[in-house]
Amino acid sequence: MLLRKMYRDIKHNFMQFFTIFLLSFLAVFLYAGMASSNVGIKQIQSQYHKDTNLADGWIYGDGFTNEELNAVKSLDHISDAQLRKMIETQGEGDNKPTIYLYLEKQNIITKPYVIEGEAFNPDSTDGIWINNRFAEEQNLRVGDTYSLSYHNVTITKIIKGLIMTPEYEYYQEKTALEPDFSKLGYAYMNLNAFPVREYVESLVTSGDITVQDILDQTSALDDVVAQLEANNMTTSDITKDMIIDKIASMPEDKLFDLLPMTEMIIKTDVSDVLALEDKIAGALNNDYAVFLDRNSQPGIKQLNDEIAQHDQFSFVFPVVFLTIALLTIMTTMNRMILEQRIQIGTMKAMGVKKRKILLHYCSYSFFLSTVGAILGLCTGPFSIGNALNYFMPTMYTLPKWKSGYSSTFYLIVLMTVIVCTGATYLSCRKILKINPADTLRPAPPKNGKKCAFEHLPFWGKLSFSNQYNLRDISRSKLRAFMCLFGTMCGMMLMVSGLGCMNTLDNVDEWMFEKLQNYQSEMILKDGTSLSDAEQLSKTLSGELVMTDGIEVAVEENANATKKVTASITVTEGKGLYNITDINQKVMSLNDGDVAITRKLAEKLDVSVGDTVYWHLYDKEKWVASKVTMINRNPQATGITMTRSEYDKSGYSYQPLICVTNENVSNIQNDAFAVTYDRIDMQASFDNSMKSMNFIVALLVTFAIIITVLVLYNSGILSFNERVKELATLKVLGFQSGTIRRLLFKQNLWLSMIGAMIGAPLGKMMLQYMFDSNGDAMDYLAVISVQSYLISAIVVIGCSAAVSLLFSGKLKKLDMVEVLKGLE
Amino acid sequence: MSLIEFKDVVKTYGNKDNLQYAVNHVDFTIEKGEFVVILGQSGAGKSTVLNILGGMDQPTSGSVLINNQLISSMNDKQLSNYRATTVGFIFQFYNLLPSLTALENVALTKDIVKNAFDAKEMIASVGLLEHKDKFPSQMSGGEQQRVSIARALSKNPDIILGDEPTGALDSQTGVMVLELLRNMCKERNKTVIIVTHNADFAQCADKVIRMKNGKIKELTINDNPAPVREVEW
Repeated sequence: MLLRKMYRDIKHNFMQFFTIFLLSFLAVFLYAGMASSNVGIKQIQSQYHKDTNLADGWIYGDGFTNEELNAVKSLDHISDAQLRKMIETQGEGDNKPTIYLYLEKQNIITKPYVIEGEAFNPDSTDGIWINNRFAEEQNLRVGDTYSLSYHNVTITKIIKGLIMTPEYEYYQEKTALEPDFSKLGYAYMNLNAFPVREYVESLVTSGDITVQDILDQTSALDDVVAQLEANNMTTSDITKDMIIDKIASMPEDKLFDLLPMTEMIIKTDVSDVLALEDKIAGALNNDYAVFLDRNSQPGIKQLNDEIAQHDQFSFVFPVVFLTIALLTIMTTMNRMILEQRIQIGTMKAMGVKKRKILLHYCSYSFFLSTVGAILGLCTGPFSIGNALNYFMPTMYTLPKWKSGYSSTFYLIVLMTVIVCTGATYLSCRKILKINPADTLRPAPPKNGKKCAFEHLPFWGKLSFSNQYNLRDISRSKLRAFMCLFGTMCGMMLMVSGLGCMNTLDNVDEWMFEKLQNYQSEMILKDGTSLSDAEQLSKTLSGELVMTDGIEVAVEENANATKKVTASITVTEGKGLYNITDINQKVMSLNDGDVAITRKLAEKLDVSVGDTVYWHLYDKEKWVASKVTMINRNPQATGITMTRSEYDKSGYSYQPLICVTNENVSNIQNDAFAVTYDRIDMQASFDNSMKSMNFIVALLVTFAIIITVLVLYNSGILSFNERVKELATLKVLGFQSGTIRRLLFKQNLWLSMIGAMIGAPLGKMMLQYMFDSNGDAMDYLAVISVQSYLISAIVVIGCSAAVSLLFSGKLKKLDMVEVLKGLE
Repeated sequence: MSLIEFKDVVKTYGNKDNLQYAVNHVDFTIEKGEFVVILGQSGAGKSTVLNILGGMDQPTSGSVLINNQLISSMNDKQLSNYRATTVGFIFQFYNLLPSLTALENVALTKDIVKNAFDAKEMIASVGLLEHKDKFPSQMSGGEQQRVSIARALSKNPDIILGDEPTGALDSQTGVMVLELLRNMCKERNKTVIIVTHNADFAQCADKVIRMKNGKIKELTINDNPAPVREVEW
């Protein structure tokens, strides 16, 4: 019978109980929805890494020998190791795509994952395996012929398979803001299928390699040197033609000494791979540049950072919704138990046990929260989870995308049910302690006492409605707090949502009007000489910019745990490629200046005046630089300096791009591969931020839902609590409109206070959201005045709309029935 | 041995400086099957006596023996059990659960005691079978009170307590309800104790306890109680 009572009570107070159901549903729906995408990604990623036997560690250097490979293999905890070489080639197509080509003699670690065609065969002499995303963009199929060029050498192979590899779960061009899979790809090929002879000849012809280089790196000319010495000649007598003749007759394995294996990938049986660095360094006689584990591999780290951000964020929603659910339940059940006091007393008088009565009332919230939570659990992953999985592939690459379930979801469901049921338990407990005889009598009125507001010096001057509302707030603190907290959360979510768009607009302006103060960007061809690049820049009144990967630390020769992977940007200080301070104000970069980005400075705990040490990614020489500025960049982490400062490092200056404000559409020059104009780059950036629209829509929608739910509940409770007073006011002659304004006023005050508190919290939440996006991004949360105003208008508008809903109730208020009471 | 022995019971409210005696050294006994009326004006202490008899309140001092059980020293759980099995309470304002129908209000007792009577039979016994599916808000006061009586009786209690059971009813309906209670007492040998301020009730009672200011002013035994219908109201 009590079950029927429960169903009918719920039906009678439908909106209030529906709110409890909805809040429980939303708490789990949003958490499970957001987290399911992560769970699915982690599951797929884990399997992907296992299937491809992904390396645990990467060692980069100038060149590793087989002896060094065997030395590393023989170390404890190293289960396997392999060498390979990666070269940056240019593919076919008008957009001159970059293809990272991996050359391997064996493939036992980090095996390419086959999407179509054959598995990668490192013994194949005519095949190439290209990544499937690039192939899709370029309409390439298995069986097609594809050509790559490298240092004036063309490599033409048959596409034997379309593949992907975990090292490229995320990848983008060096100067791009977001991935463009048509402009960047990667491929695998047999090392021995590389036309090394033509390559070396090309290097010699172009002067990129000297006799000394050949002597240092190979034994190819040893017999020539011996002959020269026999004839009292020296190495300076060796000519290009002599070398080319020699190359023509040399066996290829000797020529491959000029294409050394610069990467060693390892498998280990320990979880802390970086702890093995000292032993590996010993085995390699410290002859290496960089040692990375999976967490530091950019292609893997970026996705992991995104997952971590989603993980952090997915907890925000259940916390917000459960807190509001808790407040709603406590106020609703408190109210209900007060209203059903005599019914409770009757049940006690009949001999119904206390435990049974308690269980009965707890069952209201238990039933509603369980149904809501389970429904949220079932629908979240299919809706939000799949929606996120729709957007993720625009940035990341995995074999497939699906939502997954984890035991945490069930814990969240359990927590939701416990919180909701527990809140009801706390509400019921008090009344059950009262003896049945007293429970059968109406509750004694609360002790009349002055509220805190009455001590205000201007209390006497306040109008009746203001005094009435202030006393009511004081009397019903929990309800007032619920209203305030709910509108605060609503405002916070709304401000964050609208602020997202403002921030992206700000980043757009920051990138394209302050940092990149140019119209066109020309990507220089690989192998372009510095003189050609400088000539091009002079012709176009442009500026050359070099960017490269570095490792930076606060001590020289730091080991992997103390180094941070970053980028170096070298400009000419001409004002086309700028840096900004932490408040986005453009700074002049002068000779002698070394700027470090804010996030990197925090990570290394350095400030202006401190010295940092850095080396180019694939070079071993460390350089000391004194920090003179802290800058901020939304999409890059690293150090920036002028060319003259860079030249002091001893590294050779190799610009990557030339930027200019000139119209370059009709320029013909061999120095550059492709040009991008600003409009294209901005469009590309806007496109990459499309997934943000989804997040914004989510935040705004739920902001409105929370605000309406909370205000409506608060309104209902307020009305029911004061129904006798309102009826009395009506009897006294107050118009319904006046009474409605009286009720609206309180909701309005609380909504305004909630909005004022929620506004700065919204900015904090937005900044937190962007800060949790990993080291690469450093957005400044910007919220326009318009966004604040729109948010406030929506929140207060919801308040007004809810008040209007009560005007009908007020008109229908039966004064006689209410004031008659039990009689 | 009497069914009910109320010995020197005191019930006070308030603190030492402002002690109010709701019941002030009250003694009486009631036998099984008696129809007892406790009379008194407002504040006489009659409802307090009824609440103590019903196990809904505890005396400050004194002892209350019912069916050889010392209910004045029972704990919460024991009192709850006592209320479930021994007592059927009828309230002035019926106190039916508004979200249950007449039949469901009576059937609720099946969740309290294992051997509760069939709800439909009990509803029929109070002449409300055709109204069994109505909610309290759809019934008159008299009909609601009859449902309340059916509910009280369905537990097959030893004692039926009524706190002004006709107080909210018109005189005609009140007579009907009183007659029902009287018949229950006689036909089923139940001990019925009614609290009222209406002195006319005394004519129908086997025993009349008159209270004033928390004390028993007079206790009379009526050897020839009049039938309810013959009383001039």
